[in-house]
Amino acid sequence: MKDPSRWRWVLQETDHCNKCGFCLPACPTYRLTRQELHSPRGRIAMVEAAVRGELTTTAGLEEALSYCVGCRACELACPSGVRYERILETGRSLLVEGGSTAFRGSLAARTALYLAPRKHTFRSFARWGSLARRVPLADLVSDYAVMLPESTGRSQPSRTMPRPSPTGPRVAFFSGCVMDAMFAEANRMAQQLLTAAGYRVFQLPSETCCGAIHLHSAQPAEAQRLAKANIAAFESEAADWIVNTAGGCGAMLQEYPELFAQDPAWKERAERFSARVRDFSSLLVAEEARPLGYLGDGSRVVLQNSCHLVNVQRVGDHPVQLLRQVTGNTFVPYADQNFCCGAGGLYNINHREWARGILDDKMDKVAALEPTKIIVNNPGCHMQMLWGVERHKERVHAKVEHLATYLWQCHQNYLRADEASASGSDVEAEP
Amino acid sequence: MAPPREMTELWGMLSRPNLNLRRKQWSDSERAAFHRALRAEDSRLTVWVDPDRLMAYTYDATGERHRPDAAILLQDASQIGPVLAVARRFGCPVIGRGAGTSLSGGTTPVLGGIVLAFAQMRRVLAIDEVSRQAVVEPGLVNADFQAILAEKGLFFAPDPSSHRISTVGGNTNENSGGPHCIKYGVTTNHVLGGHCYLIDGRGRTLPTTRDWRAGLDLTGIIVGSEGTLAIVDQIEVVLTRRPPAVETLLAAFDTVESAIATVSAIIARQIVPSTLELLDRKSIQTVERFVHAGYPADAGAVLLIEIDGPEADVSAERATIEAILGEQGALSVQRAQTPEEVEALWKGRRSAYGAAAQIAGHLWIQDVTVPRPLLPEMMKTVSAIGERYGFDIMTIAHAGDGNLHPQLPYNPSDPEEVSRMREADEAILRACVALGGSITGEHGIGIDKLEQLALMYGPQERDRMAEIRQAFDPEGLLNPGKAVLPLGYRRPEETDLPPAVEPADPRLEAMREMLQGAKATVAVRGSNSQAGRSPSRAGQEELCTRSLDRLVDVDVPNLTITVESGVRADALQRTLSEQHLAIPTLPHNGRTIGGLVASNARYWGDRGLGWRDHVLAVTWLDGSGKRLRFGRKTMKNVAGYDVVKLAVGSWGTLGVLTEFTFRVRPQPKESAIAEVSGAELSTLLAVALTIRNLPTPPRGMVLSTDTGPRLWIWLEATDVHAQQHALETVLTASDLRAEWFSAAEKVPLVDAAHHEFEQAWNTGGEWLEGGVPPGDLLNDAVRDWSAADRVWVFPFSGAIEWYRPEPVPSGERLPGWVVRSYRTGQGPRVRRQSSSWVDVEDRIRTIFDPWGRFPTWEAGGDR
Ligand SMILES: Cc1cc2nc3c(=O)[nH]c(=O)nc-3n(C[C@H](O)[C@H](O)[C@H](O)COP(=O)(O)OP(=O)(O)OC[C@H]3O[C@@H](n4cnc5c(N)ncnc54)[C@H](O)[C@@H]3O)c2cc1C
Ligand code: SF4
Ligand code: SF4
Repeated sequence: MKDPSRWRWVLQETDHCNKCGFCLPACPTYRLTRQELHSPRGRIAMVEAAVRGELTTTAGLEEALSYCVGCRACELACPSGVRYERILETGRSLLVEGGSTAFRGSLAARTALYLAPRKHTFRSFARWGSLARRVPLADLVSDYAVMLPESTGRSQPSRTMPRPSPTGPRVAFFSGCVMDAMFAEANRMAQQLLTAAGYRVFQLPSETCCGAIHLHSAQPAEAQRLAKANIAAFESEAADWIVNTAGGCGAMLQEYPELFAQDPAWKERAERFSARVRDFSSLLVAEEARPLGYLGDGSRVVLQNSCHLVNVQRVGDHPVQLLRQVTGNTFVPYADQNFCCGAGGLYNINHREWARGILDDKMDKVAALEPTKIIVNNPGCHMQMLWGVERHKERVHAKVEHLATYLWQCHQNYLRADEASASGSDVEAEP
Repeated sequence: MAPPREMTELWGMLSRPNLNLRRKQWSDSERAAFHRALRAEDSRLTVWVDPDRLMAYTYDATGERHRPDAAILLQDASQIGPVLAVARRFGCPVIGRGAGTSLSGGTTPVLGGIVLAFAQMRRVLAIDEVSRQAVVEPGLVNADFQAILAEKGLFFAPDPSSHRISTVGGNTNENSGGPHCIKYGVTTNHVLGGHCYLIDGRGRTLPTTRDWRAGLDLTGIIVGSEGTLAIVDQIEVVLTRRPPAVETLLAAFDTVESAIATVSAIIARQIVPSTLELLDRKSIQTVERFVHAGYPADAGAVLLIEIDGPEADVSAERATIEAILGEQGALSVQRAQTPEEVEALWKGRRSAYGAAAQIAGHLWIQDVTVPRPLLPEMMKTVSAIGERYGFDIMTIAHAGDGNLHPQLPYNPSDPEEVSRMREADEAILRACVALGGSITGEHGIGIDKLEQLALMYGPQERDRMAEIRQAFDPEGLLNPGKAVLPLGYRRPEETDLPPAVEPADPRLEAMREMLQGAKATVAVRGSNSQAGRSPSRAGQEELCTRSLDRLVDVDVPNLTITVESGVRADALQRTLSEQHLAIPTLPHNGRTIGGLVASNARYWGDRGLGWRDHVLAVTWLDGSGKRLRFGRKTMKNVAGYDVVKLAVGSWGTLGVLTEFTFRVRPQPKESAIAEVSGAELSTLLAVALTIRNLPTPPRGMVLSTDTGPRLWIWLEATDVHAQQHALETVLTASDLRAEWFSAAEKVPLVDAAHHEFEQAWNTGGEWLEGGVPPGDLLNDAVRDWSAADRVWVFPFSGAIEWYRPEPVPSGERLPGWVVRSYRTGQGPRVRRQSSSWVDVEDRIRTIFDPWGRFPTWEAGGDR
């Protein structure tokens, strides 16, 4: 470790931690291990000691910080408003500066980091991966392969587009790299839903990866570079909102100002950018949106809410509101629906065992609810839940669907039923 | 980079110049040898020794950091003994740790040492739904336990606000309270026993706290001992039925005074709500600023009132409370109609801590209790102290218990502010002691109030506590620097001032003289009715307490009464009923109060754990004539050890009990006695066990075979008809019928019958007593009793009493449940519950009776 004193500003943050422990039951790694070392409180105490120059060893600190999923449930749980993320990033940077390689991740993770901002390459990689699901492969590879969607959705024919409103709010659509490469269909359906709800949606070709996974892999410079590119790209556009379908990306986009604490000019530009970022579900429940009808097919639906949508964007109840609007399906809420699934950016690649432990615990709870659909709103969670369903296929017979895909389908059902009742015939909802 | 610090160096923020806690520093090679020894004991042990990992075990919710030498993550209890053995060999402190939410520094390793982390030991080992008890591992989180119990319609009554995080082990070792204490009591009222290890590495079963215990209430003293006496690895707890109905109200007032006046008025109307939580003006404003709970922001105080119980009672009580709120001029009253509305009303109370925590870097949470009627005065003093020292103090209170939590926001990085905060803190403690309160109601002494314990207890009491600690842990290795100070500590002002002289009382002087000048054993006697049951020695002198016959204090609004030990039960009974008050363990007979408490006399009208639930404070003369006073006139008190528990059931072996303060309760408006007969003992017992587990259980029950099997059930309620109906339903299902009597008529008759039964052995035969978990009564209390046998069974506690006209022949084995037996012309025989406690019990006796003045139990029950 080099001189840690230049990180002393973070003590303001750690001083706010009363060590009350309210964050413990919210933390997936604490629930998994019941070790204080892997609790938010423990991590905070260790970073504090490191910054104060009290540590003579750092292997434990490295382990603790690298095993943090980064779900930030601790922040929502914290009564004192401790901003854990700042403490975590400080700790990671401090260790990297001291020569730690703990946050570089596995080869697979580094590949993903390299690919993410390179959309085109990423897409072909994802398509290749989808194919891999169907060929027998060595264990390791197939373990990852089940996490890929059966179809990346890019080749599906698009259905009838609703007619855009000429006067509605202007919405710039942020596709996101993983969403775009692997779950493009959900993006497209979100756009259609937003259009149907009265928004004017358009896309910018110049967007790039949000940089979240780089930031959390202790590459803050790369994250800043990507952020600047995005801020610049969206600056010129007169968009009322910048919308996306990935809880994790959305959170990162909303927190761009955090990246520029030392750079007032960019911080200000980032603030203007971030103030406009919304999750698509927030726009659908907003007052300015035209309410859409949704009709189900008798499915039993559970939600795996995106951690960052809940804990950072703090709009976790918007997807819930939408799910409750669907008639004809049973939405089964459960206590842990906002609780991390273990995906955590690249966590399920870097820390496979733990990601699996968190996932298995989640699937135990989900299995008891006997859902036929598991709704997700973040690509990482999407892949993780696919893995979960595969691992527990004897008990869980559910389809994993992005919220946008699900709502779009239910909206189509609703429209069809509406037409049919207008013409007097009975129509079955499409499964 | 700052130079690396020594591992054992203390880096507490708060300096304590007067405390002389020391431990020899380890050299690196000593530390390495210690680590090797630990690993050699058990290769599966997770042991952490590196400084960065250990940082995660330096703290609890108190705000200090001290680094241990090692942290061990226990997976199962078999690992404890070997670890303790190594610790002892190396002279290394051992600190038990649950969730680390202690607010007094209970888990901080102030002198280094091993942290034994229990968080992974979190299984429920057994649930016995008939006996309504469970055995759990200490690391089980309170809320997780509640979730499991809720499915069975049960709950574990202790509910600290930290219940989502804190563990049953932590709750037990801190004797935690919570919002529902006013009605249900604190943790110690719900712990039955369990298992623990002493520092010698030997596992021991904790003696039961039920009324058929034979020895001292060692469980009672371990509960709340902050991990300084034993490492607890299993806890046996009482489970409670969920009440059928609950009502929640939120009332706003313009002043704290009118809120507290309302509390007193509610209690004066014989109502004990299940929650009476108060927030003062500053707390309300803070809560509204941060969480918008919908509390009236301009109010001077709000009261959150919850009542629970049978439907009929709850609705009647709610109407009464609403009327009282009107009379007392409440500004507004909200009543929750749906579960969501209940949540909404609780929201402000639940977030009071969090909201306050947002104000400054850190939050200092104080925890003092005063007699309830003095709460407004105490709260006024607290705000004055806040103004004097420049702190914006927000106070929340468990108003029903007189327990208040002033919260002081402060900045931990500002040394001046920290020391100013400590001064304000001590001023608050002094003020509460001046009002007769306790310096901690539920959070414990920890490291935090060690020196201030002297504000409340004199050197005598403190030294006795220090000696009790040595009786369990002679080397002082379990959690040193917590709960009680080492023997002989004096605050600077104590050494400067002459010791306070208490006014001489000729009656006590006479007793003291007798104790000091006695030539033989001194047996303490009250009404003398139990002489043959007490320990005795040939040629003993008798010390009679009957001169101690004063009623010292009847504090109706506080629901306490203080009496001397020579007062007779029926006299106290009369005083209480004039005030519409009751002590559930108090019989209708001529025995002295001292005798009842000292013999832990069982009473059929009590469904709890006996006298230990009702004695708040006790004064006694120990064997050297020193006057000791433990406990206070407050509902809650966790300052130092709960020595009061040792007095209950001490049978004259620890001293002359001279004065008690009891917690009393309002006498419910209506009562009735059902008498059920005409069936086999087994049938009646089975039905009694069903009744025991009704959502609204009766006040008491007893079964006697004296005149053919007969069961008496004592109902009490605001509206007793609903309960009578529920009871009839149960009886009809078993083809039984109740004959109804008024309590005033029947209770004295039953009491007299029992009194006669208890004396039967004086004229021949043998009388035996003991007990089992109530669910086992059907196996143990139902036997082929001969026609001449007389048996009394207590379905709530599981106690069995048995008289046989012919003594048990010497070759015959006694049933396993017998703990004591008496025959004419012989001293009582006691079967020690577990011989493993003999050493500790003997040491405790020596503390209070260094010259062996008092008679002790003769061994010899183990036939
Ligand atoms: C926000 C907040 C609210 C709180 N509200 C309340 C409240 O309403 N009422 C209340 O009473 N308290 C309250 N507390 C204090 C605290 O939560 C309680 O004291 C709780 O019981 C501690 O439980 P724990 O599991 O955290 O124990 P810890 O803090 O880990 O330990 C407590 C003590 O028990 C000892 N110990 C733990 N396990 C063992 C064992 N197995 N064997 C021997 N010793 C052991 C420890 O050494 C320590 O002395 C609150 C605390 C916070 C932070
Ligand atoms: S909840 Fe917040 S204040 Fe409490 S321990 Fe966790 S981070 Fe610290
Ligand atoms: S971010 Fe998630 S995993 Fe990391 S400490 Fe917070 S709650 Fe735990």
